[in-house]
Amino acid sequence: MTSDSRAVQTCHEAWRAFLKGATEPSPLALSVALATVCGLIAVCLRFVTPALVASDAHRYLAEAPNDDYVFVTAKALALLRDGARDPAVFILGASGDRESITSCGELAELVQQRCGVRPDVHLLAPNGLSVWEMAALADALPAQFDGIVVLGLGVNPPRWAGARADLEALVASPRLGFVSAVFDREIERAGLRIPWRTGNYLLDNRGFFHARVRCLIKNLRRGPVTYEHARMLHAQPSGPEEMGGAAWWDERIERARGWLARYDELMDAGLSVFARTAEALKARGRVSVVLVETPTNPRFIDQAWGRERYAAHQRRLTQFTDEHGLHYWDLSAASALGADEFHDHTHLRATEAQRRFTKKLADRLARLLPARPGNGRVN
Amino acid sequence: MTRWARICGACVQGVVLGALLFTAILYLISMYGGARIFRYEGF
Repeated sequence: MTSDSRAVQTCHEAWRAFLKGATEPSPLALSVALATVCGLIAVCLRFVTPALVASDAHRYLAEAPNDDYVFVTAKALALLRDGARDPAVFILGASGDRESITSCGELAELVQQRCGVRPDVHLLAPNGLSVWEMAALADALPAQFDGIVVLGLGVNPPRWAGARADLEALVASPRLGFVSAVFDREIERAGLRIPWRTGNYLLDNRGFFHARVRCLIKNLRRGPVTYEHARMLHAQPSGPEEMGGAAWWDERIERARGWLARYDELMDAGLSVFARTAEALKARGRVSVVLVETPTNPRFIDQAWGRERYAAHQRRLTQFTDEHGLHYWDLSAASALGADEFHDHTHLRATEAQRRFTKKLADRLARLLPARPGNGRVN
Repeated sequence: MTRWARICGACVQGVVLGALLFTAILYLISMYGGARIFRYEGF
């Protein structure tokens, strides 16, 4: 046998041994498989970090272009990492607030035209934001900044912090992808158990990521999702059961009346969260905090609230904000928002109405911006 | 040499199986883990 044929035979034998090793079960293969699983889990625990979610990678976690909580989480984590340029304006609210503002850039431009200072405007307004999540978002704002924080009150203020079941649901299925000491304290105050915290980002936010594994697998195949800001403009309900349709509207009015029946009790709970949030924000620098009424369809005010009750609500908010050194703005009337300019009880569907509201907000911000504490002018 | 080839084959098998197992765990968690993207418009 020549040396060449011996080499070929050796290679052949080695290949057969490799195939045998690769195809037959063995303790070694099992150990390597288990080690690989553990290794991949360790890689996830090590590399899924706030920095990763704050990067463009967050788009792989979104279910759809309107999956606000993924995009708001990424924005909040980016703000926490990079801070904001002073003076900054942060608008925290729900979808009604989001749909009432044309864009952050336009709002900044309008403020600059009015007072000569261009603020760094950030809008964090996901669908149906609860008061507890608003407190968590406020907690994620930069540790030190100079500016204004606008907190949207939501279209059903009596709903705030009223139902322990709502908070329980949020603890079980968190919508924001970061933990917050403030949110944990609210959980504790409500008498609920704080979920197990480890200090590892992925483990601490397991509920958020767990719910999005399916989206991740889908998006790895289809590509990342791009966020859609305003989505109610020119929308029309397609049927009576749809949002803004006749049956939906009746049900919504009925529900709101139920909450209004518990107005005092629910308002106390909600306002206490706002008070704590505002105090924490004011400790971060030259910060003014504004509570702004989310644009509300006048038809909803008439049918659900009643004018007298709504006026009493406004007086209560004025008193509360005066007591706590805050500001209270209700811009719906000043923006002359008509019932036909709303898609439903709170979402604007007319571009012109959106522009009017944004201008009114800019007017107020431009007046307040140079008058914040520390500027030697009246707050 | 055949011994090392066999060990190498077992390692390749292990890595492939481990990656498949990890993917399957993720998939099962997403399908049956009970987690959901919580939607509640009534706040």
